[in-house]
Amino acid sequence: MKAKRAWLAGFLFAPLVLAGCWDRREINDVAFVMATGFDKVGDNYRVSIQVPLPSQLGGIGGSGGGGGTSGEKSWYVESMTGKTVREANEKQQSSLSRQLYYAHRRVLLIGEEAAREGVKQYMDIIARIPQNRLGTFVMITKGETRNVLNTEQSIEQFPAEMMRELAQNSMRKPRTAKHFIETLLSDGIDPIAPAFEVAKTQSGSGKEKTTIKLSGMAVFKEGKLAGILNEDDSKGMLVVMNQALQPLYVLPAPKGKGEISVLLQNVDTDIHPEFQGGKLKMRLKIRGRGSVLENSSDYDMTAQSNLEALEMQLDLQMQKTILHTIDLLRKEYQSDPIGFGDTVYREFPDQWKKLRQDWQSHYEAMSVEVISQIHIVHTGSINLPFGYKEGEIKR
Amino acid sequence: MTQSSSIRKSHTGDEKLSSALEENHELFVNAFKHCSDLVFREIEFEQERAFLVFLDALIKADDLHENALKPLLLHVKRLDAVDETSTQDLEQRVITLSQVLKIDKQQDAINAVLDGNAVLFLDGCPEALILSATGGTRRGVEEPATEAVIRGPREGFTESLSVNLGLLRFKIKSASLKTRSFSIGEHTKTRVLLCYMENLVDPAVIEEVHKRLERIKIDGVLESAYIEEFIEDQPYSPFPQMQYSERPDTIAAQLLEGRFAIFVDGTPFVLTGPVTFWQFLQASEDYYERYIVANLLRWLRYVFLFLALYLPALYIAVTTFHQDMLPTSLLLSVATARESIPFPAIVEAFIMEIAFEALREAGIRLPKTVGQAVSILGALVIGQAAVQAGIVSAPMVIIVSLTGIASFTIPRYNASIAVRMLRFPMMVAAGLFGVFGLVIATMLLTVHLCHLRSFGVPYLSGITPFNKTELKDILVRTPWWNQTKRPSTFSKKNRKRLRSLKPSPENGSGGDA
Repeated sequence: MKAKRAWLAGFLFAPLVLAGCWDRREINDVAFVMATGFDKVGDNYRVSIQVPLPSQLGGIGGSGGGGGTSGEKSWYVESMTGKTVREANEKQQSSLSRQLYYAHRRVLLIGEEAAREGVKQYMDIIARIPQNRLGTFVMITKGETRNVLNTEQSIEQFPAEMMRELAQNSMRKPRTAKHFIETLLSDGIDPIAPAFEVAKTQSGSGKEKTTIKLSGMAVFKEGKLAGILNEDDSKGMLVVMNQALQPLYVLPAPKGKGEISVLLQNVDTDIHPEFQGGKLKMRLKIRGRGSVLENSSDYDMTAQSNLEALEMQLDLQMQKTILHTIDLLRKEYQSDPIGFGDTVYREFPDQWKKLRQDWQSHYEAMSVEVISQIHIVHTGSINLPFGYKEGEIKR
Repeated sequence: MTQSSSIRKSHTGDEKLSSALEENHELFVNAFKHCSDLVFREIEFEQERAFLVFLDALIKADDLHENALKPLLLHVKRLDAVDETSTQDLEQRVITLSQVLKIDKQQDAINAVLDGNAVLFLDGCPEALILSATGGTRRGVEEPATEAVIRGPREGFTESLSVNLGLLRFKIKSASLKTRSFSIGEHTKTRVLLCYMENLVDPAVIEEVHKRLERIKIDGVLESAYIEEFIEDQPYSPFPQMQYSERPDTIAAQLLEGRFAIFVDGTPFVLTGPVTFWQFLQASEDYYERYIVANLLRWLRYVFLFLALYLPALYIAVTTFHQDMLPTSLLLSVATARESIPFPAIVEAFIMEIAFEALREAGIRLPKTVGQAVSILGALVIGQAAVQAGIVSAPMVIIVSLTGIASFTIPRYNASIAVRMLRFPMMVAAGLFGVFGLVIATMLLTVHLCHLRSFGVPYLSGITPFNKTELKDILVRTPWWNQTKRPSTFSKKNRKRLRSLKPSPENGSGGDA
């Protein structure tokens, strides 16, 4: 009886062990895709992937082996075209001795041209296969993605890492693929994505170098790229979206000549939709605290009245720029990344049912009021403008 | 049963002693043929003859000389008449040794000699006197080598049973500390004592242990491990089901919690039971240091117990199956380090773990001076050269060393080696199935631990079956004034340990506050 049971246990255990290791995959046999770029070439997709080359990364074990094909670069970009993205991936795999592995992809680039034709099909790939991380950042590149992926920049190990860090620092809650997909599928709000481009910089030695630059925010309309906001407009949009990290405003001094830089902290924007005589009106209330980082003017802020004048100046400038941004969004790009439609839906669900049919016309027609109340709480550890004699300071 | 003297009577071997001196002499000569250390000391009184017999090395010669031979030779001129009363006469009036016993069986006489007593035979008397002058050289009381403490008693048990019992009696001055004596081992006739606090222990457990001890038939008992293997509940388990200690304070603490202790002559290691798993993670210093620090250290041990069991397995699982579980930058570091390594992670792990175990094994038995050389060799060769040669990766070395350190944090060595051993099946499971394998192995392990009993007490007592009061000494170590009850798993009756006497300035100075 005992022997029988031992045999039975052995037989039951054997298939377990025999079946083991079936998806074993050593780290050395995997190519970790750090970034993927999607472009359109005619009807075909061009897919570019960036994989790190561990043998080029340095470290004790790695220095001996290696012998990479790509010179000193610690990464490698492979680009292929195909009828679908997966077909292109398949072609890439056939020229890669290591298995493509997407779980560590943190950056998903979509070329500007491809994005104008629509981004929905790329989101399908992300959502369908669990190996893809929803924490990936979706980004737009000016020009072909492989150019950006191939940019040699000096700061981070990989271009993908550079873009990821830049995107992470671009707003309070960086927009991941999950968020992108959510807004893409929601009514009354459109997704945004940071846009990158290759830029030239001068290094200290005067040698010209390339780098990757965050050049603003891309806005979408109905799943297609509508346009890329410049830095000022992006700032205004992020302030309204409550996503601006610490926006810096540079304003002319209320009196005298020169500029004053104010850094805003704890900016909080409330959007109140209301109906006035059947017409939609948006009231944006922006509150926050600011501190003066730099005063290159001859303006003296020690007096309370002067500080208030500066606050007034700041409020006025913010109102102006934000109104300009909103007008740009609704009239030129016809895109609603701030989610005005969504706020109407939340506050007045019944009216939204009627409005959503031709939301675009209501969006363009609605009146917008911006109330900005920024309180400057710090003027720094020196009170008076620096380097001016007593008589020269404008009080 | 309470017999703590070194004289014992056997209940078997019924041949009586002869009253003829020559026959008794013959008995010993035959029984101890070719035993050069047997000594006969002939004594002649005016009319009667007598002899003392003993084993040379086991006797305290001074004692025997001062308290037996001298009085006999100086004071006894003539025995009135040799009969039954003459031995009693000698015992009561002449011999000044404190322990003397009358016997009349052959086997008892031989056993007494073997135990280190002298036996006195009188011509014409069918009885003999055992004179207890046990001596022989034994190690003195020293600091225990395997259980060092920073704060706490420094004395440790020795190889002498009577010294050990004395050390315990110094701690527990109570008549309810009972000691049942056994003689186990056909040839060694090792004295084994079962000790317990009569008013605290579960009597059923004691009866069970008594039964199990009596059933042991073996030719020799050289260490308490012999006893342990005969009386444990689950002989195939890797986990120890009895604890051992060479610290009298640890043993006293166990007895006061309602456990029993088994002393074995010839070893400083005293067994205790029943045990729970958690006990192996409790160090005696947990109770001697301030309880807040003790808690921190105890949790550190729990964390490192986990590491000791799982860390290499987890590393294998993550690097060969679940690369998505590592943060990207960490993964790239690992990938870089592993780039030129020719082996799969599991092979690498086995190489390193086995090398480490060998290193440790080599270090244990080597003389201290050579041991250092081994550790330098190991650290240099395995730690550095192997990494630089690209045979093992640096992360693996870190993992193995961390695991090694983790297994040293388990205070009880027998539990530590169990965990050390179980690490290997874990690594195999992780190499085969990744984290799924680890989960399955953990489930099997948990089932086994839940199934395990130590003298009827579930191995995981306190957690499962759950017991709130016992958590006070498992997950945390609450201060002594808060541990008002004894653990119920060991002590069924008399559970109240103390009234809560939380100290504060108000109820510090006397009074019944």
